[in-house]
This record gives sequence, structure tokens and C-alpha cells, in this order.
Amino acid sequence: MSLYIAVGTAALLMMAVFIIIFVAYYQQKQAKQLLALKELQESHRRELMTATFRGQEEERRRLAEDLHDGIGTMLSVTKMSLNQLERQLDDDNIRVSFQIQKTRSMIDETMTNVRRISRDLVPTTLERFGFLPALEELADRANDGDIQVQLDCPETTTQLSSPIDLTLYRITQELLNNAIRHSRAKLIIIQMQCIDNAIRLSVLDDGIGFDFDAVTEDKKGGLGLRNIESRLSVIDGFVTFDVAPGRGSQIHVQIRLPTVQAVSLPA
Amino acid sequence: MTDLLGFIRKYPLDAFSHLIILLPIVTGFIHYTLLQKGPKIFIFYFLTVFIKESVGLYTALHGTANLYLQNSQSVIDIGLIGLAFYSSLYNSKLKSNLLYTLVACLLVSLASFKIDVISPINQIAGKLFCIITALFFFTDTLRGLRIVNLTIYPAFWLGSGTLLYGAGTFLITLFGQVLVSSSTSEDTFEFFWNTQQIIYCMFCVFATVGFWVSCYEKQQAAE
Repeated sequence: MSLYIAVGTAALLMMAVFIIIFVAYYQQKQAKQLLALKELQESHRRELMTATFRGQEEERRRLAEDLHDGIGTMLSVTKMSLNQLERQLDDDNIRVSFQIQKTRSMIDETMTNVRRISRDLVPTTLERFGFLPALEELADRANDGDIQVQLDCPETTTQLSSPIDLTLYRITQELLNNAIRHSRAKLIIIQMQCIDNAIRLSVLDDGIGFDFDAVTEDKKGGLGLRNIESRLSVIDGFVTFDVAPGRGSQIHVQIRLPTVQAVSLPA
Repeated sequence: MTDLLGFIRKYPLDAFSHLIILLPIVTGFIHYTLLQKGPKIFIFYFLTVFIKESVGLYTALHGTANLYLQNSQSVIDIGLIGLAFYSSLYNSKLKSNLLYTLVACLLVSLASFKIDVISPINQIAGKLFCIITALFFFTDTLRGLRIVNLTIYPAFWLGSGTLLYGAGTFLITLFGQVLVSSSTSEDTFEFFWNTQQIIYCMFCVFATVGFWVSCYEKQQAAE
């Protein structure tokens, strides 16, 4: 009898050990599968976001081309035809001549606006000369009598890939727009630093600030900020908001770079 | 004191299994703040068992009957181990099933409780409850997929120890009456008694590891 009890006890113990090993193995396997699934979902989400942003850029380019080649050309032709019409008029017809001059200046203004919108839609400076000249152009354009935009960049900077260039440019554009439109800032500083294998871009202003939680909780508002986060999630970057109502804002964007190559800023 | 030394000399394994209960208690209290509610209850379980064993030893040395203490082990097992795993389960269905099992086993254990003789039904209820509870816990673990690394999850070690303890001592308890009968030789009785003690020592070691790994669990959570 005691032998049966001993064998039975040994069998039960072995069964218990088997169950424990099985649970540990199976759980580990499930956890690995779950992790792989999550990674797959994350990579799929990234691919989707990348495709969305690429689509956005393509659509912007198409719009810019249509504006430049279609409306821009039509406006030029209209202006030429107006000039011809002016030449055909008698010198005595001062009222009509004045009207033509007024129309021509309106056409000029519209052409300038079309060029500006087209340039905003597709940053040609970025494509032709790189990120820093594009930043300089952005800062120059934003500078006016009321608002001063300063650019604080190193002499040399790392060679960035074009998606990173474009992402950083779009983020700077968004932050600069926000500072001008909403924060009532007088001074805006765009800083760029290279830290180890990362690039850090900061936009600082002396405006009225904002409540970050209130903005992000509002589903209708805060699209720009969410857009910045989405753009950064695609290229291994993150954003830090040092903001509060009643004081200037400091927004820092950091992107980890795969390889670093120093290049000089064009003169 | 002489009696105690005599007991240690005569039954070293019993003395060792009594002292080893302190291991999970000390480790548990060291990592007390890192532990969740379930493992915390386990510390009090081991503390209760240690007190019960100490009282048992004291009464044995003074020649007083202490079989009611032996029988009370199953009540402690069902009550405290049940409560600990009830706190560790996430699945509500498994939780209610565990609660029904706990009530049923506790009722059986209390109904069959005897003061002056060993009550086999009472003890079987306790061991059976340990096996069922550990299996409930493992089912919950596999269903939930909340744990990234099982080896640094305290409740897993406690569950494993409980299963080994329940399964390893179940048959010995089931045939306890045969083993203590006069027809069984003293060597056979000692063999099974010592097996029980070794299995309980294993339970204590598993529990100690469980409490110890709680610091790594905290580290992983922080990462």
C-alpha cells in the first residue's frame, strides 16, 4: 500500500511540476507573440502615418503646381491683356486709366498671394538648399514690424534625411504660426542644437502661453499639436511642451538620428 | 531547553522545516512595500503557520495533545491561501468560482474538524483546495496575458509552491489513516512524514523566491 502511495505522490508531484513548466513556457510564448503583434501593429500604424503624410505632401505639391501654373499663369495673361488694353486707350480717358491701374495692382497683389500660398504649400528652398536656409527664409518671412523672429543655429549642422528635414520644417512652421496667431508674442526664437546622435529644435516665445491640458483635451482644437506628435512618432522623435498660461512658451522637439555627418551652413 | 535540543537532535528535518518558515516571513517583510495584496496575505499565512507550529512544538514538548493544531492547518490553508489568491485573480468568473470553492472547502473542513484525533476529511479538503486554487490562478494567468515575465511575478512562485504542496501531500493525507495505523512500520511512517516536511520546505523556498523577485517586478514596471 505504501508503495502505491509513494508512486502516486511522485506522479502527482511530477504532474504539478509539468503544469508549472507548461504554464511558464506557454505564458512566455503568448507574451512573445503578443509583443510581436504589438510591434507589428505599431509598425503598421507608422507606415499608415508615413503614407498619410506623404499623401498630404503630394496633395500640397499638386495644389501648389495648380496655383502656380494655372491661376498664376492666368493672372499673368490677364495682366498682359490689361496692359494692352491700357495702351489702346486714349490719353484723355483718365478715369478708365486709373481704374486699370487699380485693377493691375489688385492683380499684382493676388499674384503675390498666389506665390506665397504656393511657397507655403511646397517649401522649395528646403528642397533646393536644405533645412537651415529654409528655416532662415521662414524666419525672414515671419519677421515684420510687430514680431521679431530670431534664428539661433550652429554654423555646422548634421546632414538630415529629407523626411526628417520636411518633418522638422513642418513642425517649425506649425509652431511659428501658433506663436504668431495665438500667443501674441513679440519675440520668437528658433533654436537648433545637435546633441550626440540627436537633433533638438526649440521654439521659444514671450507670448501669453496656453493651458496644454485644456488644448489637448479639446477634441476640436489642438489639432496642430497632435499633428506634431503624430509626425514625430513616425521618425523616432518626441516633443516636450514647457507651457503655461500667462507666460512665454518653450517647445522642444528632439529627433534621434541614425547616422551623423557634419556639413557646413552655406554662406 | 534540554527537551528542545533533544527534539532537534531526534527530528532534525522537523526542526528545519519549522525554522524554514521564517525564510518567507523575513523575505516577505523585507519586500513588504513592493508586494501586492495577494502576496502580502501569504506573509501572514506563513506567520500563522509558524505560530501554529511553535505552539504545536511547545505542547508536544510538554506532553499535551495537539492534534487539533494539526487539523487547524487545513482551515488556515483554505482561509488564508484562498484569500491571497482571491486578491490575485483578475477574471471575475474565476474569482467567484474560487469563492464558492473556498466556502465549500471551509465548511467541509470545519464540519469535519476534530480536537482529539486527526481528521482526514478536514485535511483532504485543505489539500484539494490548494490544488484547485493554484489551477484557478494558472488559468487566470494564461487567460489574462497581463504579465510580461512570469519568472519575476511573485504570485507565480506562490502559485507553483501551493500546487507542489497540495499535489505532493494530497495522497499522503488521503491515506493518512493507513499510514498512522499500527500495521504500518515506523520507517514507512517516517518516510511519508519526512516527505511531507520536505514538500513544505519546498513551498517555503518557492514563496521566498516569490517575495524576493518582487523587487525585479518593480524594476521592470518602472522601465
